[in-house]
Amino acid sequence: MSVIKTITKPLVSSPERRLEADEDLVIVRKIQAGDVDAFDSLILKYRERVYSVIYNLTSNREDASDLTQEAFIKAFQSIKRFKGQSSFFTWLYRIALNTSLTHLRKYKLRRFFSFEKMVEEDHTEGFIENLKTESDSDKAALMTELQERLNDAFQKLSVKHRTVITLFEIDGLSHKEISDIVGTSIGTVRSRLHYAKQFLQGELKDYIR
Amino acid sequence: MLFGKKFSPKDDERLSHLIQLKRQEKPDEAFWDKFDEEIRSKQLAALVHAQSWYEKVGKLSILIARKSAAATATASILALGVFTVLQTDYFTGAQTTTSLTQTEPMRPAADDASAIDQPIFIVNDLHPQAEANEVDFSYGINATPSYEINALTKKSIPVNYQIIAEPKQFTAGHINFGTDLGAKVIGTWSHF
Repeated sequence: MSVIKTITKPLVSSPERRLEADEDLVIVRKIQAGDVDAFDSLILKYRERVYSVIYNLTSNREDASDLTQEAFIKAFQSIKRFKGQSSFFTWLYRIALNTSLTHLRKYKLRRFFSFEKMVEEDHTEGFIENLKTESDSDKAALMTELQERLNDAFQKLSVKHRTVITLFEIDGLSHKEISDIVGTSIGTVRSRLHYAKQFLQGELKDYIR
Repeated sequence: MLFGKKFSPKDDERLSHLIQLKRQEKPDEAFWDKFDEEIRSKQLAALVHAQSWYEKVGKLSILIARKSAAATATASILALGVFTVLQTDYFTGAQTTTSLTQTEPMRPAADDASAIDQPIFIVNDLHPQAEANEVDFSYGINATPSYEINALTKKSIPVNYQIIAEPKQFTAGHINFGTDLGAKVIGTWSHF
């Protein structure tokens, strides 16, 4: 009995996420009742986050765009089967991840990278200031170099580790949320995260010390 | 060797900040405009593939109406145009009455060949409220509208008809379907 309860309980953790999940469920019910136009609001709400996750997995902006669209279309086509046992957000992320992993398996031998331009913000500039050591080198050049090193290091990670670190560090999800999306235990998520961080610390040591 | 090396909590924090720089890799507005356009067309395609024809018609029309005001406006203008054309004399048949009274030659319909041998009465409803050839069901069964009857005869070969008689006035009570007035009466009520 308790096992069933655990399985069917919506997979949401924080109160904010629960509120968000409830709001999404209202929209989903509308779509299921035939208001297909309501799906637009879900696209608008999640497109940037889904794109960001896929982009950081593929390191290719064109592929990321196509795969994000594909993920939303798959969700749209399957939404009648969405029962609300997990949050829409978790369900959508699973679709996005599966779509990306299928793509990466299929095209792993002929991959190329195309990166988004890094938008400079206060937070970024502060980091650049800290990186400067000997000379007042060009910020743009520093940013480009940093972006290249960062993406290069990311691509050296396995897809499993890249997924976990992307969801944790870039998307800001909790261990529990990641375990729900990826379908592994929280322990496995922590383990993968630890491994990924150690690897990246080694790859990016020049920027950390 | 790499993973045996210890990193301080500060290093860990710095690494997190470094990775979080990737949050700044964002597409611009133009990217999202294109994205929205593409996903919309894919969404429409998915809808068409997924549903049966009657669902498609209903939901697609709703979706298109909501998503594209321009398309709706175009369709409305087109429909209005078609309606206007259909309401012209040519399509409503009003021309028939007019041309007959103006002694214009008229060719009967091809499948109306059986009527050619016999002159036909064209009965015009003279009720003041009724439009020519317009069905008006407001007439009561006891109403006595008057009719103007014209006799048509064969004029030449190929078959053309022309009004040759002066119109004669009758009321509904004086003529019945099939009445022989020197020609076949083809109707007696305003909506024949």
